[in-house]
Amino acid sequence: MCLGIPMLVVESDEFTALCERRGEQRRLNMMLIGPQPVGTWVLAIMDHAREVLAPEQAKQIDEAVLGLEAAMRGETDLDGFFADLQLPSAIGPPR
Amino acid sequence: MTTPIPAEGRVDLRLDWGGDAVLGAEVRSRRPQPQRLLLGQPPAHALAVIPRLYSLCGDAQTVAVEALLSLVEGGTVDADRASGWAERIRLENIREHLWRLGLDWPGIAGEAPQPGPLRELLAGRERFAQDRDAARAWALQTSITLFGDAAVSWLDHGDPQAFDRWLHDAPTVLAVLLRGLQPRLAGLGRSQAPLFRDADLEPLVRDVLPRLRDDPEFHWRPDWRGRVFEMGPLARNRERPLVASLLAQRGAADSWIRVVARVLELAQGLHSLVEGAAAAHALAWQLRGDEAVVVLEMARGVLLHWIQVDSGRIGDYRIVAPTEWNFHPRGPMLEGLLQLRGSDEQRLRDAVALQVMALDPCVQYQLEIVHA
Repeated sequence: MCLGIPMLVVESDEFTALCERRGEQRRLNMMLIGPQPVGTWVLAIMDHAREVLAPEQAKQIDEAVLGLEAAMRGETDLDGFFADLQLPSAIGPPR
Repeated sequence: MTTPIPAEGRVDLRLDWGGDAVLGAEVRSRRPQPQRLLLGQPPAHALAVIPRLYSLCGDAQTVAVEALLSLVEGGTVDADRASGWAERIRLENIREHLWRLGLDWPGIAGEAPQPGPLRELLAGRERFAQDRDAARAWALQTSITLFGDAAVSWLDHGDPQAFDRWLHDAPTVLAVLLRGLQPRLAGLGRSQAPLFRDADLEPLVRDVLPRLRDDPEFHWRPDWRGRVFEMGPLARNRERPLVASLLAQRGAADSWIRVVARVLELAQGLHSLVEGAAAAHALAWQLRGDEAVVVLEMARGVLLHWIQVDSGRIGDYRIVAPTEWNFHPRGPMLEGLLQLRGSDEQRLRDAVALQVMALDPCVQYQLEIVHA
């Protein structure tokens, strides 16, 4: 089922790239998408970069993952993690 | 087994090791559920959130949400969309099988990875979904790369003798990889867990609704009529002659048969693209009052999505992935672990890695060995 995480390439070589997301660094295998320049967003599936992401797409996935992490910590105000969706309030009356 | 769950989820394995044999084992699969992100939102919100998060099998996840929304909004599953859904899932299954056989298994066997076909599929996926000729050309080339150009006589019927001849004689990188893996995987991870078939989707979906409603923990430890099933390629191909004959020879599922079933499914998926055949579609659903559930077959096995709607908003939403069955606390992984023998801890770790890879969880695993 599980999650893909957007990560930013901070160091790149032919086969791998050091990538970062919110302070966590991970070395990803780049064989599926080829070497990418520093500053590129990629989708990390386990230890591989599977796709190049547009910055806006990376931001949306990143916020969704943050929302999930917040929910796992027990937080309840989660609308801010999906700012682009313009949600109605979760506690308001049904439309 | 008390460390926090990472957002990506994890399978935790614990072995109690007596120095020459495993005396006890625990298996626990933990993955993040989307329900708290969805509570109180309109049902359509699920389609924005779930594919964005669960992108490993994003096509199957998207199809499950679309089918669920179609039920909630229209009272039925939109049959016109079924062939498009089946096509997406076929390509995703091929992608996942290529990933296992082209990257993960070579990695574990110390062989060079074969990323070419997977790279081309990732780059061409959207085009292949629309353009049958492009998909056919890619599938034909990939089939020749993986299986050789001997038209692979075991494809259509899964003939066991023809498969054996191919396995022992073919010069392809995949055949060489499998020849090296066979002695390491045969007999490893044996399990007598019941095997889940496509035909079981309908009765499962009928029985599962009250369980989801009444048991808030069902998604962590699913069962059907009290039994924990093995899900995935071996289970759904168990009646094909190649898999059936291996099961009959060995008397139980094991890691080798799991890999052979994945190879068979990959070969058949590519073959169906080459032939221009419509993708098969295994999906079942149930709508009852304010609840709906969808189950479908995807690369790793059965995916289940359940929604409960309350006054036009999501009241509950849960996902049960095949990993929850295969890595259930009393599922096939546990049975395999309990049979491990050996006095070398590194060999024990290697054997666990092979078993895990053959059952193919959708998350990383962590192994703790406790010296009993």
